[in-house]
Parts: sequence; C-alpha cells; structure tokens
Amino acid sequence: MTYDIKNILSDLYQIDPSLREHEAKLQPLISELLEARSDLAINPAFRDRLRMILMNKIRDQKVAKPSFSRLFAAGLAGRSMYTMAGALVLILVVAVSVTILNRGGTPASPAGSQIAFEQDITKTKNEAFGPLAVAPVGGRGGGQEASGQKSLDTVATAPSGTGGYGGGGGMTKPSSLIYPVPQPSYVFNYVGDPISLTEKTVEVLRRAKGVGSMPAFDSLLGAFDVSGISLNSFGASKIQNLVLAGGGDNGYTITIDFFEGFIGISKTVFDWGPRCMAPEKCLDNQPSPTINQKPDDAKLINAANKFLKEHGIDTSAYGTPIIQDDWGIAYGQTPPEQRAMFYIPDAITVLYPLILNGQTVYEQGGMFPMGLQVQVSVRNLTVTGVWNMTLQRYESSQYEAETDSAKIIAAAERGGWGGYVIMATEAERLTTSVSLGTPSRGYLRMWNYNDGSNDELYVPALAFPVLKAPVRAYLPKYVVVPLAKDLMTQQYPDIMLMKGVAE
Amino acid sequence: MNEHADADFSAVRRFHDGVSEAFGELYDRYADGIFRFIYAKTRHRETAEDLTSHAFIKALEHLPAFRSELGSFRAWLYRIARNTVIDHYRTTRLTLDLEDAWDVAGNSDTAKEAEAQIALHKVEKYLADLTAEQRDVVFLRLWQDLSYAEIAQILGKSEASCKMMLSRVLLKIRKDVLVMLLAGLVRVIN
Repeated sequence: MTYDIKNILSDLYQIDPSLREHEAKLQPLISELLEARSDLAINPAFRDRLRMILMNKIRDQKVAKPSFSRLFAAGLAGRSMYTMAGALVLILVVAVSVTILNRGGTPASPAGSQIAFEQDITKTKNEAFGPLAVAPVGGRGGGQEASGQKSLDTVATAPSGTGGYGGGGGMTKPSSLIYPVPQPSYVFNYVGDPISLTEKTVEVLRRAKGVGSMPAFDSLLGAFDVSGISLNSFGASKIQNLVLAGGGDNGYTITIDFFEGFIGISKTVFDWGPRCMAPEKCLDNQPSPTINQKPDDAKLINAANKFLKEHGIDTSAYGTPIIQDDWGIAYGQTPPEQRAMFYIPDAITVLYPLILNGQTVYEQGGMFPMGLQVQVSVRNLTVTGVWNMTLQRYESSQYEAETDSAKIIAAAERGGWGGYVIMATEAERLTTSVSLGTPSRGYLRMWNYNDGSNDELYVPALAFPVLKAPVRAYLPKYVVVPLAKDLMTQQYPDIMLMKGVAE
Repeated sequence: MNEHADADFSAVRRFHDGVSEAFGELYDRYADGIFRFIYAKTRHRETAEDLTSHAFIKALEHLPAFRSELGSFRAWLYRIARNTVIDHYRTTRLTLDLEDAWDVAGNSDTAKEAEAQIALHKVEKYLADLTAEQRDVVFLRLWQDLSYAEIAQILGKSEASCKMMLSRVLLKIRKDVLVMLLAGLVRVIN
C-alpha cells in the first residue's frame, strides 16, 4: 500500500474507526482516484510566457528610481538630452560615490538613491546579429582554437557522449586531444521526461554596449592642460571609464565603464601587498583562513544582502542568491588527509543569478548561473567587491530554432555547449555514467567575435540538471544546450591527443 | 505538512523587502500545481491557462496583503485559484449557479487533451454526482496532496469537516461502502 493511501485511510479511520475492517475495499477505490490524477502538464511555453508577464508587471509597478539604465542610455538621446543626462550621470556618480566611499557603518542610503537596473529589450530584424558563434573566441574556458570540420549534427547522432570537465570548445566530437595525462571522463545519460520543442524560432538577445558616455564632461576635457600637454590637441575626447577611489579602512573604489555598461565596486585595499602599512594587519603576513573559519553560507549571504541594501543596489533583475562554491567542490575532491594544505580563499562569492525574461542565465560550462557577484570576506564578513553589475539593455532577434529533441538530447549527452572536452581515447576512458534530468528553459551567455566586436549573446537554451555526480567529480551542475539551430550546425574544432602521453 | 512552507515564508518576506524574483520563485514552485488544479475543474486547456494567468496576477496584486500568521501561502494561492474558477463560471453563465465545468454537460475537451481526459473520464462516474465543494476536496487532497489544514483554509471550513467531507465522498461513490457506513452507524447508535 502506498504512503498516500495509508495516510488517507488513517484520516478516515479517525472519523470512523469501524471502516478499518473494510480496508480491503476502500483501498482500491482510493487507488483508482489517485491514479486518475491528471497527468496533463502545463505547457512550458505558456508557463514561461506567464512568468515573463508577471515579472514585467512587478517591474512596471516599481516606483521610478534614478536609473542606471536610463543614464547609460543617454548616449542615444538628442543633444540637449546629452547635457541633461551628463548632469544626471554626475549626480548619480557623486551620489553613489559619496554614499559608498564614505560608508563604514553609516546609516542606510536615503530613499530614492537606489541604483536600478531595469531590463529593456528592443526588437530588431530576424538574424540581425549575423551567424551565431561563427568565430568562437577564447574566454570562458578557452580551448577553442579553430581547426577541424566536424559539425554538431554528426556529433549529435553518436550513441552517447563522454567528456571530462575542462571548459571551452563547442559540443565536440570525440577524436583527439592534446592533454598531458589520462583523466576520468563521464558518460551522460538523459533520464528525464520526453522533450517537446514546438517553437520554430528562438529570440536571441545581445547586450547593448557603447551607448553610454559622459557628454557633459567630454566637452570640458579640451580645457585641461596636464603638465603642459593640451588635451584639446588630441581632438574630440570623451570619458569612457571613470574610477573613484575611496580612502580609509572602509573605503571602496568604484569603476564605471560607460562603453561596457558596467559598474564594479571593490574595497580599497590597504591590508594587502606593498600598500599595507601595518605589517601586523597585512593579510599576506597572516596564515590563510582555515575551513573552520569559513562562516555559514547563510551568514555570507546575509552580509551580501545587507551591503547591497545599504548601498541601494537593486537586485530585482536577479534571483535568489547562492554561494559560488567552486573552490568547495575542489575541496571536496581533495583527499581528507590533504585538506589541511588546501587553500581556503579570503573571500567567497555570493552569486545573484541574472534572470532574463523570467529565466536563469547560465555561463558556458554550466557550473554556475551568471549574475551579480558579491565577494564577502571569510575573516570578518565585510564585502570586498561587487562585480557584474551591468547595464540591462538588450536587442533581440529571431533565429531558427532546433526542433529535433533527439539532437538536443544527444548534444546534452555530449556535455552541452562549451562544457566538455574529451580527455582520452575511447579505450582509455575511465567512464562513469552520470544522469541528466528533465531540463528547464534558460539562457546561455556566450561570446561571438563579429565584425571586430565581441558580442555578448544570450541564447535560449535548455539546462539539464546533473542529477547525481560521482564522488570527487568536478562536474557542472547543469549541462546547457542552446536551442538556436545555427549553433547546432556550427563547425567545431578537433582536439588533438598528445601521442605517447595518454597512450 | 507542506514541505515548502518555510521556503514560501522566506520568499514572501523577500518579496515584501523588494526582491521581485522571490515571486518568480513562488511561481516556479506552484505554476504546475495550480494549472493542474484549475484544469481538473475546467477540463479545458485554454480556459485553464487563462484562469491560471488570472489567479497568479491576482496573487501578485494581493501578495502585499498576505499574512502568513493566517495560514500557508500555498493554501492562500489555491484559494485564489478556486475563487478565480468560481468567478469565471458565475460571470460567464449568469443564469446558473455553477462553480466549475463538471456541472456543464459536454464541456470537456476530449479530443485535444486525450490522456488527461481519459484519466478524468475513468473517475467521471464518481465525480459528476458530487457537489463542487466535494470535488474540490478530492482534487486538493488526493490530486494535489494538500493537508486538511490547508484545504480547510481554502474552503473556509474546519479541518474536521474537510476530513468528514472526504470520508463522505468516498462513501457516496461506492455503494458497498455505504453499507459499511450504515453498519458503522448502527454500531455507534447501539
């Protein structure tokens, strides 16, 4: 008898204990009703669309705030708007700077000074970004040298995939690799529900860049002479980066990149390196933290939340924070007897996953979602840096979607996009089966070198959860497969095996 | 006990603190269940999708007023969903006092939703003669695995009366069980 039926009968017996005598007849009746539980699943496209509507509704309801997005967007406005926007940027920068530079246990930022990151998506024509990943560039994981001519279609028809975590590359065909030693690799097996792919196109996003500047200040640059050098003699100049350094023990340095649409905050470091004036306080003179010194995850997250709230940094574009514990995975892999030698980082990253159209964005490799990163000191729970605070302006373009679920699953079983390279020859692999569960919709952030610019693309994707990783395996939490057909038929490099080493 | 009660409470609190995505977290947790519940009551996919949308929009609009001390978020959400279905049938069929699609002959969308309809059809003989409230007890307890405390919160009744209602439902839909009840009653009276 199932747990459900037992519970239901137990409740009924409380009402009328005499029914216990007739359990044999009641049981099939309840069972029949339980089995009739509707198996109709919600349509994933409907579920995603409704989520997007709800999240947009929340954003629309928010009170207008001084907006990072709008200020950066001033670069697209008219001339008079430039001046106004420049002035606003100044106000923002000064406000943020004064608030942050002078922080240090001071009261929370005043209402209305919150930095908002509204997401704004502008539709463009179909396939406006050109071929996707036509020229993969190194970066997240590297290992993408151009060479071979193997298409994913060929790869995707292989019976199963193998690979060991290495990062970089496309969804590669097992062929050959330059790698110094044989490594364990893993066979992914999809064990989830059947996948239905009905959409003919997918909406690819590209983060807009180069739209921000400080025009109000640009015009002033020409008036400056620096040590006799006239800035005016260099022609029209404009401010693309701004760095504001705060002093004192609790000062922060703010870096604003108007071209990239990026703000970074880092603690002005005087407790490390040559600028550290008090040797007894210099961290490089002190032993590394031990695992016992590491605060609980909840404390780290609370410290990050508190910092963002105090400084009015809006997290509405981001999901529930998690600990980016890649070091912890490596620690777990280390044999217990060697863990005393393991380096515990001084700061641990609290990650706020970016949510686009209601869906999580994943990095290539799938180890963690991408998003706002807040580094928190293991020693004293102070925030030492905030990264990936980016302008949330995107262009969107429709691309043909891959609708063959078998190809998508095969690609997932090969390790997905950018997640795996093959570590050894077929005969040498120490294969271990790893199960992949039913995927959820998300985005894959990828980079595409296109006409001299490095496009930051967000491609609709399926994220397959790795259900159970082998002990001490450095595996991603997700295997991510983009849904744009263009990427399924891309050509990917062979990876050469170093002869005589892995053999 | 609802295993997600603590997570729900945390998400609601974060939403109140201005974290928009906390609502997304609640949506992710309950979108499937709310859809299935509404589908069981409407037996029509498009209608169920419309009403699921309405229910979540209402929940979003009223979440600032939600008070966890008055009950679980899940029960609160299902209550909104149930009321949304009731409102739908009351406003679209003004001359009848209907609360779901089971009282409307031929409303099922058999061709489109074959599998689900087959499943529902198997128990149609049991469910069709029940009141809408009794059907809700079946849907919520047997198909959604809600606790009696939550069902009581949704229906505005006591836990004991909800348990009694399911007991009566089971007895009603099985003739030989009715005999058992009578036998039991006789024993109680004696």
